[in-house]
Amino acid sequence: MAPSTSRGHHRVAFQAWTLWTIILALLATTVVALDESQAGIIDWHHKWIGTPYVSTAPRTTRGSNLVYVATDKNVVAAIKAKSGELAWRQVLREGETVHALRTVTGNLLTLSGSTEIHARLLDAKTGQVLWDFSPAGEGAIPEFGQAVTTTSEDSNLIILTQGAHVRKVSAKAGTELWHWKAEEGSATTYLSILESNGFSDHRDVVYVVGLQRGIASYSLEIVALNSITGNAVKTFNIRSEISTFEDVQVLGGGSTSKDGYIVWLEQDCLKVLTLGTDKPTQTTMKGIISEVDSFEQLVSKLDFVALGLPEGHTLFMLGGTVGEYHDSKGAGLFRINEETKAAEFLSDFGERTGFSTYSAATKPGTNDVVILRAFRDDEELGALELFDVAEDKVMRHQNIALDFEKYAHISFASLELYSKGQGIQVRVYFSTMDGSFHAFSDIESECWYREESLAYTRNVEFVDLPERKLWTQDVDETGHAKTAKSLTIVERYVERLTAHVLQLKGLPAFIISYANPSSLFKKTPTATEYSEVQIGAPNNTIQPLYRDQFGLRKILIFSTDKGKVVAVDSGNKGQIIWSRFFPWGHDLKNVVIVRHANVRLPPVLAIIGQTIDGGGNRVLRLYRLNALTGEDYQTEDFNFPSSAWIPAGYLGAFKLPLEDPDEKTQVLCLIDDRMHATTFPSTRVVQEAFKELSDDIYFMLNNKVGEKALKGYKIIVSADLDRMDVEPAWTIPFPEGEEIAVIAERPTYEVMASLGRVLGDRGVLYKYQNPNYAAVITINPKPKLGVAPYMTIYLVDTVKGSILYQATHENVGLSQPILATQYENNVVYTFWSEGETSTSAKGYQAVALELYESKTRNQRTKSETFSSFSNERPDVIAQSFPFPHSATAIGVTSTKAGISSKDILFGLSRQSLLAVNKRFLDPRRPVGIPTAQEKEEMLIPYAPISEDPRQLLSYNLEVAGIKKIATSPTLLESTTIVVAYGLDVFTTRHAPSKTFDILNEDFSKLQLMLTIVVLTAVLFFTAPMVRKKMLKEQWY
Amino acid sequence: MKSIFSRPIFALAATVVALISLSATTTSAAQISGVLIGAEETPHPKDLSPRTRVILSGGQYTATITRDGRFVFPDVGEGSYLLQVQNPQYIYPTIKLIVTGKDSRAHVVNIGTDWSNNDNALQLPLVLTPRAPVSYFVPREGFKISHLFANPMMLMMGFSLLMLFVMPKLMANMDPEAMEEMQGMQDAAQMPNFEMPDISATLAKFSTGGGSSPSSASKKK
Repeated sequence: MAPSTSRGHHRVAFQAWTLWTIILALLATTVVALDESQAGIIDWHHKWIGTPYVSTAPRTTRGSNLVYVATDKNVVAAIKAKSGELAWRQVLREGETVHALRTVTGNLLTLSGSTEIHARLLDAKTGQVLWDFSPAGEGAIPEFGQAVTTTSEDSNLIILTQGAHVRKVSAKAGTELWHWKAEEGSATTYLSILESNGFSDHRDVVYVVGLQRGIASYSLEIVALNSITGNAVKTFNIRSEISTFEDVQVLGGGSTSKDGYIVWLEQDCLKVLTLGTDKPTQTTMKGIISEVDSFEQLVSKLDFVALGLPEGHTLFMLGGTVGEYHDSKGAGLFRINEETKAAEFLSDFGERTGFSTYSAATKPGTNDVVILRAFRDDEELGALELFDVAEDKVMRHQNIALDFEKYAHISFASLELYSKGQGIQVRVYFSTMDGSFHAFSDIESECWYREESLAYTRNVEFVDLPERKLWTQDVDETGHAKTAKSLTIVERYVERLTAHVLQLKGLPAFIISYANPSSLFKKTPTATEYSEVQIGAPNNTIQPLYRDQFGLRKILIFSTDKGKVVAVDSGNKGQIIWSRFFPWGHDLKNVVIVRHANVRLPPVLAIIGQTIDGGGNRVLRLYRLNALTGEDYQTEDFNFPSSAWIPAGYLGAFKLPLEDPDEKTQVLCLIDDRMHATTFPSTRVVQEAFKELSDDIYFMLNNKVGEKALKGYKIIVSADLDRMDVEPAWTIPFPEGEEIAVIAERPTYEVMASLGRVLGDRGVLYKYQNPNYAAVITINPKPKLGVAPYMTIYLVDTVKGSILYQATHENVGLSQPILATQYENNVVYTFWSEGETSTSAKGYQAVALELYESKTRNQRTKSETFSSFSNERPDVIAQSFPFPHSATAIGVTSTKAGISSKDILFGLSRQSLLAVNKRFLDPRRPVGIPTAQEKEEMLIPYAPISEDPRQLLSYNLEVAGIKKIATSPTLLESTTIVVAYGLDVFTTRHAPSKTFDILNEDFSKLQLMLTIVVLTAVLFFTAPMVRKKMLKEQWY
Repeated sequence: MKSIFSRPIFALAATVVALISLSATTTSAAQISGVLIGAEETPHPKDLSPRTRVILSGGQYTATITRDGRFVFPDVGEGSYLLQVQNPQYIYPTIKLIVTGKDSRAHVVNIGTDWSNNDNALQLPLVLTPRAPVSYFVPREGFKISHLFANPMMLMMGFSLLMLFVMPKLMANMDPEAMEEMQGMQDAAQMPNFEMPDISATLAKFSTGGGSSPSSASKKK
């Protein structure tokens, strides 16, 4: 008999083998598609738009239903004013900045673009484009040079583009009526257009205001155009010294009967020019400063404060930094006097600490202006101050709850006034520095907020929830904290007993869920319409979090570009659990889970960021948070502070395969730009362990897109200095002209289930099992000899810096992103091919590489262990497949034991998430008629990747702007959690090999029951018969 | 989007120059336009999703569609492009677009086929009709009593039940010679198990400690 251990081993191997067979059998039907009733139940989708910086609402006295915004994510959206839900949105191209937003004849006009300029009229109710006007060959210039205004007479549009072209466009059809162009090579850039009172006998005049470049400053140039013919009537050149375009404001006008003005700031005076004349009036800065009390301690230059008033108003505001510590803002309101045509001081807005944001609106039905000043009062409160200009007093001061820890300061505000009954109702929309968008309304139920910071997600981490059993270790059965009260043994026993009895009522539900695990997938029978649950007051009464039966529920920790960390429940439609904002320019580099939920110990998150201090130096900062609550993770021990910093910039951070004995957290290694390595925590024990390990630590660092070489580093311990330094170990300089385009990302969780691939004849190809190889793709955008760019893929051993494999693709298009992912011994990458020859098709290509130890079957490397320093090179099998979609992100599924097959996930520019089984991206797919062996291996004959919409995990949802895809295993081997993010966040459960470990959705329990009943009935029926027969046999 | 315009003037000048040179080089560019039509049940393009985009060569150019289904690429440089329609409701054909100054052409192509194939020419401006509506879901089969009886499990059960009654009578009516012949046939039908490994045999082998080879067994003795 063989020893029992080896037999056990055999059995495990055998079980794995049978499981494989079952999976392969299941995969005979290849497409894993969604059932309609699952849609919206196993997945959720948050539609985000980004942080608005422009907003407009239709002018009504009754209060508008929709507010239109444009965001810095280039999204134009209509938000329902009462609930904050999206009515519609138009996601514009990357880089298509929105320059202007305006309601025109009940619809919405947008002016957007960078290389191409588009003026579009959008249907106010649906967001459909009514017309799209785009002059050929014209782009936009950054900052200014694009503007739009309406003519009062025929309410057509006058559009300024590229700082040089002025066109009149029909508002109805979007056709050009006339076109005026600045002279070729003119030194003037136009920035604004205004219809206003003409001069001498010219009535219908549109003024185009421009800045002419001088040597040190700009001077004003104004062209008057005939608004009917588009002919230039007269050019005014006003001698002036303007340093930036922001020092110019255009006021008044809006009709041919009202005067228009230009106000601008010069070195020591403020000047006002009435359009149509050439003599400006002048007020000295000194005069202004002495007039406004809050400018007494002025420490900066005065700037215009944008109020967002429509044409026709002549109010403007000047503001500046004041105060001893440069931390306050003062502001004064001015008006242009109709008689003297000079600036006239109206009111002092006073000094407020921190930032102030202004917005103005008119009272419903009148022309009286109310100015909103939004600022922060203290840590908990924001303040909205409404100033009535006509009555010259603050008509209202409203405090609103605004947690500094979550939102910091207000960065943009917009005021809307409407009448209800006798009074005036106020609605204020504002963005905060963390990226979120809020609405305050007099009606409490209409206050809402959108956590728009999630549109800026940079990274996501998955936190496993503690088991309920573990949770009860800290909290007793009745839900009280154990430490809270001291009970005698008898009391505790009685309490425990009653608690157990109370828990019995959950038993039926538990039994049902156990008997039928698919009920977890099937809570409601049909898909419910997606509702934006993240809107509204953040839910503070969150149930204690614990894991579900299959580990499908996790906390997703999103870190964002804005410096905010948001924790979201992966179940429960993505409810926000907590959020933390790290203000003052925290650049969040990395979020690492240093401890998973452990007995009694909560999961701990390390957040690594970089800030710039007052002296312009970079500081690396580390924070430790309790992942369940988002609070600082405090301990008594001074070796484990909740925050720490290093006076140097961030280069890299990774987890070491070490655990510190005191806190059971994984040790972090931080690399700063002084090339020092620091461990966290840095207790003596940890440092000793790290030094022991340091010989074997190799890593890549600072290899960014655009670099011309790939660099690897190692840790050096200098014995005398007691310090750990980072030293370059190797460098791979790429050939002339090539720069890194992509470094493939691995899934964070990876387990290899089988060592080899079984061929049709029972032979095995052994997988190349090097955990330290990286796929790097370089591009050469301008090759010397060829015409089109080419790209090269390198597989690099990251320990010794050797190139394991390399391949070049000619004629690559660069407008489509190149994407790559790798796992185990597989690499998949996609790109746009312009066709290597003139006859080869243009299209997307997906290339699959598989790395094996040897070309020949059943051959393995001699050595028992794998060493990076041995000279083995993998045998690479490669195949490319035509791919039907434009992809923007790539990822791969990961499951607990790695037994399930893999799906390659693609985020598509058609705003969907696609899953392609690896069997379709298999480089061994036979080209031509498959042989018997290939059939035996169940290989699918070679074909382009199909355009089957059933492969879309996001079905018909509009998952816009997917930039990254992350996956995490669950306790079910079949199922993986997929999170796709970028602009929107989409989370779903996906089972690449179907859910083989739980009962299928369409498993008919009724059928099973019926079968049993029938069998039992038959048993009762036949038993007497058999008995009779046996008795007969005995007799005869 | 508001940052202080403190950059030197050259930056602005450079952009302007770049833009001017851009418009100078793309003299041979052309305007490409077309119209999308919905499928039969909702033929009006008004019902097309506002998120529809028409893209050229993987996003080199992108166009939105207007309410009447029209799309325009105002300024497409010379060359050949792959035109795709991204619409959540319908699958549109993919199109090869050859843009030359005056005489642009369009052909329907399939992904992965030869690029020089110039069949299926289309008129410009393009009029695109969907190939099929998109279906994202697999319909689930509901429970039907007929399915229950069509189930192999049930059929097997019914058959064995039938045999239980019929077989004895059949056997009784058979003459002994035919009986013997059938027995022989059954023995011959014992097919040798090739190719597929016999699970039960393997199991038995493992559970008895893998002593399949007689040599190892003899050694132990």
